[in-house]
Amino acid sequence: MLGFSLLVPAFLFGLLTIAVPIALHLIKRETAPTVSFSAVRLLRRTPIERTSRRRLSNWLLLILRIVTLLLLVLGYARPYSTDALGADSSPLLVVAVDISFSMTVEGQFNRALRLAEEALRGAPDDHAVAVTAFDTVAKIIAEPSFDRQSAVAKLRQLIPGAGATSYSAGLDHAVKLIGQRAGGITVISDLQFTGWRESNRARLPEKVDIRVVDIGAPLDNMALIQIRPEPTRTVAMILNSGVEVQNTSVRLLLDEQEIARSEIIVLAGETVEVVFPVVLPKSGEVQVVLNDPLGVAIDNSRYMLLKGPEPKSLLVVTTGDNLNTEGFYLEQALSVGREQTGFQVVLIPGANIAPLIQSTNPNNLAAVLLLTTRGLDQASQLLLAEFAANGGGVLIVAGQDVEPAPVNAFLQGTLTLSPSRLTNQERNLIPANRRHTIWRAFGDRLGNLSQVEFSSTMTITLDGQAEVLASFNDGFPALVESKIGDGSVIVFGSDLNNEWNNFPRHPTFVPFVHEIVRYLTAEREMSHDFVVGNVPREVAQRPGFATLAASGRRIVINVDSAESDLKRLSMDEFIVAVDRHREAVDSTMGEPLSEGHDVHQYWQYIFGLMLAILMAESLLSARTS
Amino acid sequence: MSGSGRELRLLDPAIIAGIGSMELRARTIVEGFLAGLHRSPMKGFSVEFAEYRQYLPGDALSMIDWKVYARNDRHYVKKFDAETNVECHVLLDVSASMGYGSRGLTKLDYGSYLAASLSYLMTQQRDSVGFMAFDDHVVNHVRASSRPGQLRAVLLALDQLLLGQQSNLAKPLHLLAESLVKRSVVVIISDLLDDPNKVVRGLKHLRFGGNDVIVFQILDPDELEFPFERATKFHDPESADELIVMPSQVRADYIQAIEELVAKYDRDLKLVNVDYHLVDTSKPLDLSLMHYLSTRSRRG
Repeated sequence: MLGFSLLVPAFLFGLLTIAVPIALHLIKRETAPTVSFSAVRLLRRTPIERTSRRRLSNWLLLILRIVTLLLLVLGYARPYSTDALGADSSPLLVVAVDISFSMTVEGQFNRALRLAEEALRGAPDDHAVAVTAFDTVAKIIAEPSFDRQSAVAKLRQLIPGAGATSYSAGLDHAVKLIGQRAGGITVISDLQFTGWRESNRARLPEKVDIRVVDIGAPLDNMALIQIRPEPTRTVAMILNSGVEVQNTSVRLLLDEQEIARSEIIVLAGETVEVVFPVVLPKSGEVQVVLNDPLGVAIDNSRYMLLKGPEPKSLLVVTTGDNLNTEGFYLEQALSVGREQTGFQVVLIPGANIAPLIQSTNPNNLAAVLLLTTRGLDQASQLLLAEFAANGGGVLIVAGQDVEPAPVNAFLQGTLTLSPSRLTNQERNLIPANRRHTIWRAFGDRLGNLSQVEFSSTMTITLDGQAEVLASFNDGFPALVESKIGDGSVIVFGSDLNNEWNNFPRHPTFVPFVHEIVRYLTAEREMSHDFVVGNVPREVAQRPGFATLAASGRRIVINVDSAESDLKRLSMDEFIVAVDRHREAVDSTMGEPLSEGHDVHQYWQYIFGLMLAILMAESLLSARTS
Repeated sequence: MSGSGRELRLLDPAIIAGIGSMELRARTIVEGFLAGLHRSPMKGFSVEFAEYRQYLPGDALSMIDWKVYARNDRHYVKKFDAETNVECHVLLDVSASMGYGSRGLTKLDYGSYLAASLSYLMTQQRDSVGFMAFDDHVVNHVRASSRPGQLRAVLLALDQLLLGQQSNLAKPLHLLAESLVKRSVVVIISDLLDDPNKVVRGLKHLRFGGNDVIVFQILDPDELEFPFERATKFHDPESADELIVMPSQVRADYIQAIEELVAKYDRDLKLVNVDYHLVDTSKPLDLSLMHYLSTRSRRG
């Protein structure tokens, strides 16, 4: 590997100018006339320059002039140290390999690996190389390094996944990896058309080159793209994206037992519905299996989880002194439209929260609304924290029955509650982030919230990453959301029981409560149907059924059916799409090539040294001329 | 311009250099010089009559034989034996350093004219004249004689001189001092750009034999004034050494060095009764002849 490299090596042709001083030196144009003088020995009394020293000076002058030219040429060639810069800052070639499941067809991925290896080995010497893999998401396989061998070794360990192609994911990731450096991206892909989604946009700095290596695509593939239970039957949709008519069989399995089978003929490029005369039960695990030995294997199965509606409990924690009045307004608000929301409000004293949470199926507990901290011991706080971390929603209504200390401990430093503030001046509520989910339902009437008058509030101080959803008109936060684990905790800096404000008597109160609860329970209501690439972290990115370890919830994972479509892009179409993105280069995403190296401004030092040498040359020349 | 002025102008070394033969040059110089003299500085310095010779300007009037004048209406002076027995030796340095000349006239040219003039003058005085050219060894030697063709032999030797190698003045001085058998007048013409201590030792050797020694140090005006301005590479013709200097930077030191050299010769040679004269090649030759004659008369 080179210790140094040049940004503009073409300037090295300037080294030819070194011949000029050498030629002049060889010509030895003597500026000092020679005089035959008898009394030379008398001149030796003074400290004067001897001819031998003069000859030495001539050589020194020649060397200085050559060095000056060398430095001039070198300065313009813009050298940089590949050692000093390291793989973190030298030009980088990112080889981005498509590992979507369409690459699993026999021979496809081996061809991709071979082409990727060729790209790595063909990288310029002064370029670091990195390997990334992408399907729905992108990941680094080999970190930027000058070690081609290591990168190739890591590349060879790569296997295709179950995700769908997303070129923008791959390119965005590569661009981020290149950062401010110069470099290029080599995309190794089967160039599926569906890799560019309408919502996907890859932004590529103009100075980052892109090269696309097409590995070709399989000719035949059939895929199950949908299972649809209907009242009297079950329907499966099958796509033949190949070029041949396919005759195949489809099986329907319930809880791993085959309950129906069908033989079908699918024309090339056609999608057909396979109807099974089977009524599926309300619960169970359904799988449809397609026989497609030639195409991609992973899309030959599709899964469905049959789950009936479950009651969802909203736990309203009160002091327990008077259950009829505490949380009255809240309960009344939640009772509106109960048929649609399905919420079941449960009012319990703080002291009973621990056994209730422990005895309740976590899947059935939608959210906890905390109106008091009285009786909330440390065990209860830990249970609440665990509930939130697992995706549960908690609303803390910081009214007169809420003590700041246990809330602050529960919130884990994301924000701090301070004792209540009693002021003479009434305050109003002003939404801060109007685009937040809880405000969407208000539409144009969001301003009506400002009519709520607050006589007393709790002071909320933001310490960590918390988002202010609404403020009081004096600037203090009124409604703040804090993320704890996978769940959300929303703190309201006043009460909701008509004590510190008149909010319950305003028309906006019911939608306010509903939207907050809906938002908090959204995580718990989330679909149990996932697509590879977007599954919970603890679950493998493979299609099939899985159980979430934390909650015991059963989920189903399918591949993205779009990936089964073998329709392809040409390389030109791919490049054109990238070029289109180039027009919208984000200034934050990479700088021009030369600028990236200007961080290491060796040329400035070189020109400085050159000027110093020029001065030395001038002095020496003046002394000897 | 007066007649004497015109004659003196003829003694300008540059004009003398334009004259064809060495004999003609010598005669021009000497006659021009003598024409400018109001009286001869020479006195009679012998008792035994030898012959008559025609009066020459500069001869003492007391030496004129008025009886002969009465008979022939011509001026003759008496010559005595002791006078003709004076042996003069002219030593001319022909080392390479004598080849320097800044105004169309080298130190060797000037020294040659001076040697020729002195030889001519000596011959006219009926002195016995010898000539020796040397650098680091004797390159030409015409033994001293007063025979009629001696002057021509000396002038011929002067005409054929070529620049030699390195100078070593002491060596021929010692050789000459050992070869002289009777007291002589020794005229040394050199730039004396040699080790002054060795030169003075050689001259002492000559003086030790009772010889009258006259030293003419011939230097070019450039060597005295160092008028160079531009950076110059100075080449020593004897040692072949070269130095590149900025004259402005070394002028003061050089002039001090040359003045110290001249002062040393002047001081040391006076101590041993050697007549020392610094001669600038830009100056007329008559000054040198005057020095010779004054020394000659003083010693006579």
